[in-house]
Amino acid sequence: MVYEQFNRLVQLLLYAAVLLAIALLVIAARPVHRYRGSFPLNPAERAPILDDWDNPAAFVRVTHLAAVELPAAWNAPEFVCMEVRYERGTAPTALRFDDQLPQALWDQRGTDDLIVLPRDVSAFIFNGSQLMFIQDALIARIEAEYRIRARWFGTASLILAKNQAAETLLCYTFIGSGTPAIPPVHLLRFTVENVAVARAPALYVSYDSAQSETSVLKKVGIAEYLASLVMDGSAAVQRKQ
Amino acid sequence: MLITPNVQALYANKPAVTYAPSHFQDARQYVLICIQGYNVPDTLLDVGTSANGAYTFAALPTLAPSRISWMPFYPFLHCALNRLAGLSLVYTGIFITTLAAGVAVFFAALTLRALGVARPALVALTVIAPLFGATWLFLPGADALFLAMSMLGLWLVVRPPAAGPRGEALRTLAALPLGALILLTKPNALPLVPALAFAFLYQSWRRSLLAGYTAPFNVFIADVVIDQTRPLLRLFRVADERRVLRYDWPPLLLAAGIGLGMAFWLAYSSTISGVPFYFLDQQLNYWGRAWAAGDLAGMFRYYAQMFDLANVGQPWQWQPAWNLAASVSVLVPAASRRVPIVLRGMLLCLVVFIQFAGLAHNANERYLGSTALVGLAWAAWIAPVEGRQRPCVLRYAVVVGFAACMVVLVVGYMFPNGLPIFIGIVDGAGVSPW
Repeated sequence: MVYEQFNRLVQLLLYAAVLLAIALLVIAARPVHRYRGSFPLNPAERAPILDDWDNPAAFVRVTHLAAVELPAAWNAPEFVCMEVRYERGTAPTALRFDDQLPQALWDQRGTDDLIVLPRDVSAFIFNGSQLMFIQDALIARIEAEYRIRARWFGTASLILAKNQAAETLLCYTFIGSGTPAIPPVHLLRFTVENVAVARAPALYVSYDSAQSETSVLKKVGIAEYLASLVMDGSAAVQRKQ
Repeated sequence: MLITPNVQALYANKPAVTYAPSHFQDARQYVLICIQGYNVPDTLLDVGTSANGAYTFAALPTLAPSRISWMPFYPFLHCALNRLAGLSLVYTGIFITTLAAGVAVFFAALTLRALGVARPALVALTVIAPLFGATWLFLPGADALFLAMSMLGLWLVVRPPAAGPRGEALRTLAALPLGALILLTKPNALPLVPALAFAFLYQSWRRSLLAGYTAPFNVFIADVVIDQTRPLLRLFRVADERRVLRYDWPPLLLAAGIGLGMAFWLAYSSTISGVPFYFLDQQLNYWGRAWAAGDLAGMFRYYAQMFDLANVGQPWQWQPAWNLAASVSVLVPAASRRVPIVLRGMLLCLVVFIQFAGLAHNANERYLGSTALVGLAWAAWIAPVEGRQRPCVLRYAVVVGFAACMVVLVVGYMFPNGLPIFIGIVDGAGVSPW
């Protein structure tokens, strides 16, 4: 190869590098619309919990939504109850950002399973009250009284392996400065662990409120509510033999 | 050996830390990139309560720190060593760093020999003990790897042209990906670009002289511009005299590779974050600079803080002094006739660029003093001159003495006190805008 030919080739390589760099800078200059936050979830709808680039990490479906009233003699508050079905999606698992991860954990490999913890159901409400799941003592009393066995949300973590689903009965109320009560309007968001959640479905719930475009709660007694779940073949609630 | 016990002592009551140097400052971030990947600060705007209590999310990703500021090549080596060799991530950093320091010395010796410096194998050890910055090279951060990669690049730049066309083509083509890798090790490769442009012009001039070119260096620069714009000149029917020019392309390709690596990292970081020029945004808005590029008045204000006699001993007083000392010390080998001209010219370009761009950061000695160029220059500075075989003991004593002082200062005083931290130009109340 003569010197001039070699020179010409290197010049072409430099031009190509400059053009490639310009193309990359054009990509870098474009703002990318990465929608993050919550989006509305409708009851009975199978909605995705989304990782970046709209990759579904899991799916969530809410059914049997009601304001459940316990017997007056129990002196217990009303609870919002619903059956929640989780399914594993396709998004890869990712460890939660932790700047102080102990060195003993540095060599541990992550799992492909997703996990649902109590903190993965969060409520947004503007009156300062705090979400409170149904307590163990009340759960035991309900199961004994109505002869059912249920997988209550918050009592144990849910594991979502690939191609698997898990159902749970979610009951909660809100505790503020006064007695526990269901507020007129609140928002309930569903997330999962072991994955980077960018967008999560949120259920807009209203109760005794004129607020429109929300899931309006209807009051039912606990016996009627559990019976409807059993009758519909719920995987979260079974009748004791 | 000096550093480890001192750093370990900082974590005496923290059982989560087994080996402190790999948990210290930047070192931990590189490991966590391997484990957790790069993060974009959460931009969820919801504010509310969960069963565990109240929480909020940051509104703007540009104002919170992201690991995107730590480049990917070093964590890639962490992962590779951990996955392929099974070495614990607690120790991969110190393994790579130690190996990189050895590679840096090896290529420094080759580079010094190519430059005609006497006793290259001995004086090459200077690159891991420069006056400023040596301490960082022994922590499991990316500094030692950056030194090794850029030393390999400089060896490619200064080594004599290969005998055959195939060897020359290989040397030339290898420079482009190597430049990208150097940038993807540390963004501090950017200030090397003007220095490499100088090396391209200087070495091309030297090669052209051997091929019969006779004009001086400044005329050669004009001839290069004319030669490269010849198609344009023909378009406007401008007659030009053809001269014998011989180009030495590797420095320019290395610089192009650095630029390409930067463009890639900007595109990648912007794509995963959604923020245009996200990496640059983080550098400017989160980490900050001492002064804006080209703001010479700001530069003078920054260095004038040294003379704030009402606040003697304050960090905003001694940090500019320390940074200026790191920059000025570089001018010692740059002004010495013992040092090869190509290195002296490159050093000057490096220092001027860093000062112009406001990159006198919280650890200028780390960004300037521990670079391959400065290390090589000090090595050439202590090497015996032609015709004299005995080493100059005083020069050795200067380098070793200052390096030892820096280790004591950085490890014995700064690290235990959470320093160095970045302080830019402070206002009247001693508050930094950063």
